[in-house]
Order: sequence, then structure tokens, then C-alpha cells
Amino acid sequence: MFIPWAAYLWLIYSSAAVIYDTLYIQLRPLTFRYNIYEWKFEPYQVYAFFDTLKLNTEDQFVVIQSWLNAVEVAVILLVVLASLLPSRRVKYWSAVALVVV
Amino acid sequence: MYLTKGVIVWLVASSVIVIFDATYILNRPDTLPGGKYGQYFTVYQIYTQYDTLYGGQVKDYFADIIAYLNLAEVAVTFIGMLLSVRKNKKDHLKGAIWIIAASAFVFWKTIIYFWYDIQYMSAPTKWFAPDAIAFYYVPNSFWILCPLWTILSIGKRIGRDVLAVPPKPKKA
Repeated sequence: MFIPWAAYLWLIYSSAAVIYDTLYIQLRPLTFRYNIYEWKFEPYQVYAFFDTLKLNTEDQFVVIQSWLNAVEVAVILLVVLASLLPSRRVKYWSAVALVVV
Repeated sequence: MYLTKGVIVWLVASSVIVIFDATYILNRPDTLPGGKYGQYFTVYQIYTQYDTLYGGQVKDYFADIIAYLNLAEVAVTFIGMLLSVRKNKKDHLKGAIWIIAASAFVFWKTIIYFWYDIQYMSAPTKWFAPDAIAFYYVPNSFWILCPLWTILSIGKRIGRDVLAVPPKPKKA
């Protein structure tokens, strides 16, 4: 009611991409080229040519962002489920929560 | 109007402090003790004892990036407040949404800052010493708690209007 279907689609697509990204970051260096999970993260082997930050395991920002991404996906999942409940008030606050997340 | 007096006071006070903070960060080393503008920023001589990222001794541009984002957030807040004082009620709603968005940015950015700053905290800050709580944790926590309160306060007021309108009946 407050959340359009296109937004639901975006949230599902974005959450899947974010979970994949979180796995790539948290499993480093096993996800790098010539390591055990290399083939599961082939897009990142290409991406690394353009953005080397994710290759730097010393950089804290990428790790923090990755954990926060995981938190955001968890919140999105809860809020999306809540938005399917019949209460209008819950649907409204779910929409507000999605704006914040 | 969807903004309470308390929210307006917070947004104005926060914007002034944030501009002062960004001026300090972006003009280092001139704003450091002994610098050209050092005398205007003496408060940071206390703060940098607890947060070395602000002191300018470390080569890390994170604080600079945060300062630029802070300024962008002040601009978004300013636009939101301008829309909120216009006569048109639709503009009030748009302004409130701009401020909710800006508050969400502030909330998440402060969490990222706290987390990132762990590597630059001084020993008293890491060990939650009472002076570190007073000069580091409490002041910074305002930018986590107040944006959340702002979002809830504005959200409640918008909700009152939105939920008062009965839903449109579904077409058969």
C-alpha cells in the first residue's frame, strides 16, 4: 500500500547482490584470484581491475561497510515481512523504516 | 507543519556545529594549535586527546570525506527546512521527507565513523574512561540518537495525516 511493487523488486535484487558482496569481503583472501573460492566470485576478479580497494585486506572501511550491509539486509527482510501484515499502521512504519535503511 | 520546535532547534544547532567541525577539518593544519586559525578551535585540543583521527597526525582522508558529506547533509537539511516553511502543504511534506533522508544519512554515517574510528581512539577512549565518555562518546552520540528521534517525530506527524485518510476501495 505504501511500498510500490517496483521497490519490492529492487529490495530483493539489491539484497541478493549485497549478500554476495558481503560473502566476497568476509571470506577474503579465499575469494581472491588463485584461491579456493575464486570461481564463485569471478565478477569481482574483473571488478578488481577498476577498484582495488576491495583487494586491500588492511582497509577497515570495506569491512565495516560490509557488516553494515549485512545489518541492512536483515532489517530490510524484517521490514518487508512486516509490511505484508494487514495493519495500515505497520505498513506505514515499514515504509518509513525502508526510507531510513 | 511536520517539524516540531524541538526538531527545528536540533537541526539548526546540529548544522551550526557541523559547519564549525567541517571548517576545522578541511582547514587543517591551519586550525591545529599554533596554526593561523588555531585560537578559534581550542575546543578540538581537548577532543583530539580522545580521537587522534582529528588531530591531523595520521595520513587518513576519512575525516575529510566525512566533513564534505556533513556539508552535503547540511545542504539537504537546509532545503528541507526551506520547503517546510512554505505556505503550500505539499511542500511541507516534501520538506519533511528531505529531512528524514538527511537524518538517515547522519545516523548511518555516524555509526560508520564510530566503527572506523576504533583504530584511531586513544587508550582512555578504548577503555571507556569517564573523561572519554564525557568528551567523546556523549557528544558524538547526539548524532546517532537525535536523527533517530527526528525521524520518529516527523514520521509520527506524517503518519497522523496519512493514516487519517481511509484507504481507497479496491476495484472489483
